[in-house]
Amino acid sequence: MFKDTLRVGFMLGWKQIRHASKWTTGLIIFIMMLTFLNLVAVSGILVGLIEGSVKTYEDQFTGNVFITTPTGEKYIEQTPSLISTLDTIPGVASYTARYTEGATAEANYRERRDPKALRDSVGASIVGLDPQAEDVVTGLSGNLIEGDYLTENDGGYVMLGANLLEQYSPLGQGDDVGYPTLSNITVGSRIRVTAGDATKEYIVKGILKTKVDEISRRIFMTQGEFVRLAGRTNLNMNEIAIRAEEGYDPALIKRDLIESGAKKIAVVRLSREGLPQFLLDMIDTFAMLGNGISSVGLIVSSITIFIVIFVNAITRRKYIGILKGIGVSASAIELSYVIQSLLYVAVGSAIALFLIYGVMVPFFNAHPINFPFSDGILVAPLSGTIKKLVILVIATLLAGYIPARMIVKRNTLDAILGR
Amino acid sequence: MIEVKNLIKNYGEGDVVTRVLRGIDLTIPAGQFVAIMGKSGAGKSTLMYQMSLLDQPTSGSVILDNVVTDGFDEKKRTTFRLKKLGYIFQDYALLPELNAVENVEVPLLMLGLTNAEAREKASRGLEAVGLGHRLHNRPSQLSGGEQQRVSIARAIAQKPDILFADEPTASLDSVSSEDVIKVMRDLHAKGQTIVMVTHEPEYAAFAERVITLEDGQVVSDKLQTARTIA
Repeated sequence: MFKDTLRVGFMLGWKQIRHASKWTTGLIIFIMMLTFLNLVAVSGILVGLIEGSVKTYEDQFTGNVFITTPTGEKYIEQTPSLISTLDTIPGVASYTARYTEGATAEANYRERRDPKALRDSVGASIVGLDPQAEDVVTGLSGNLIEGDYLTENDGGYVMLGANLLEQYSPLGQGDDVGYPTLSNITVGSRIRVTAGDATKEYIVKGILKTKVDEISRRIFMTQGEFVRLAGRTNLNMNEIAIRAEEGYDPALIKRDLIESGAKKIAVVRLSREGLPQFLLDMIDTFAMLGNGISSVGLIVSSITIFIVIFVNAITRRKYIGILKGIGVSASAIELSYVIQSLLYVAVGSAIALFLIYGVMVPFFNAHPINFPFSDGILVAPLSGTIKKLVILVIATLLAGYIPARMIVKRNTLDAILGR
Repeated sequence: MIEVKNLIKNYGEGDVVTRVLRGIDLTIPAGQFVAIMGKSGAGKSTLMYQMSLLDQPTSGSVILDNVVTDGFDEKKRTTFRLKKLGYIFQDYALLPELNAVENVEVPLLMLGLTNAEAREKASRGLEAVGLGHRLHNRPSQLSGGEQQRVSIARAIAQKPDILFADEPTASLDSVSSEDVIKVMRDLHAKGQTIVMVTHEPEYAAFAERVITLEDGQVVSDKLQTARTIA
């Protein structure tokens, strides 16, 4: 009997769909498509604001695995040995090791006539890097907005993060920018950098601007230049950013590093593990916010389906009565309406899935939304999308079933006679 | 066989109760062709709704093929109608989105026949009522008489014990009406029990028994020699 109910329900449902107005069916499918897009895209873009920032942080600064100096230490002990180990660990595509040190940069010191006047200086980190290795791992040269990228032999040159400069400061120009910046510095300008007791003059070779604040407030020089300025007498460095091979799980690299004893001399973290808790909380909050907004869409679409099925069923009340009169079970009739709802949600969702994964995600990855603090992308993990699809399907089926049930359970004779 | 005992049907409540059937008793043996007649409001259709389990009486019993149907819930009544009863509606009551053969197939599929079996049986049923050439026409593509014949084919497809017809000729012209009556007459000739409500004496003449109602009561119950169509 159940099988027969299914068979007749499918037959009646399918025939009704085929007989229905194509425009009405198209409109309902369009609404379902928009609902599903709304469900996925709203929270996806909200989360994408932060995820975009996280992704940029990973791509441009930390790599997939980030090794840093333990708290209280000046640098990573035995860095050369750690780097040798890195060369043997599977899945490592590339890495870049950096020296870092706190420093002060001063500009316009040649024009300063009054010794009592305020110096045009900022505090910043100086970074000694291998320009080529750094570019392979983080694509640093891609962030240049002025000048040229450093080469291995660029003694006496530096690249500056744009946030150190007044004209690029995200907080504006003038005296009220909130934190110190250097004025009138362009490519070719000279600045004086002081690290510890040593001071040296450099020529600005390039200016870098990114949405990762750590980069935009740094001064970059070659490793040789750094050693000379900071007076570091060993080869121990402060940061190593590691890029994993495509498709290789970075967690395995971290595990191998820890097993090799790296944890004793350094802090080994996946990029995301280094994120501040507030950022992770923001991702959760934005996801909740997006889900809340999407729920409104879900309710609207459920009501739409409810009304469509209700109107359909009420205008077909006589036929429903006749079907019951000739012995078709209530379940089969209800199923015929559920089938219609299922078609609406299936086709609408299929189109929406194509748009999300075939158009929107690739588009936003290629053309991120330009937010001040991040490059916003559309975050639509398949597992989350499937969950939302299940929710939409259940809501739609209920919205189709309830009105059908309301009409079908009415008195058979009243339905036939239309009273 | 149909047995109706002290059947009462009231509509409304309190002071506005309308007594449509006032204690009807009758027995219709298997194989009989009965016409129920009466003026408008006499209760003839209401009587048939109770006998065909489309409605529930206020009190009294309806016994069909020795099955007391009084306590049946909606589900049981639907199943009983499917298995034992056929119903011809006044306005054909075909599903507009299904073609003729699909309309006839629906109850057969509910009964558990395979698609092929249902299709074959439905086709044969339509051929039997002279619509073998109209299997794939939608109701809107058929004349009134043809639609009513599809309705008859649907009603008899599962070989019901009792066939109920509610003014089957009311919406038809005289030629189509005679066609429909002829089909019913042929069915009766093969032993089909038929209960037909009509207000047209010329079609009641084809039945072998005529029950006349007035104010919800049987005022006449006569056996007659059924008229034949030349």
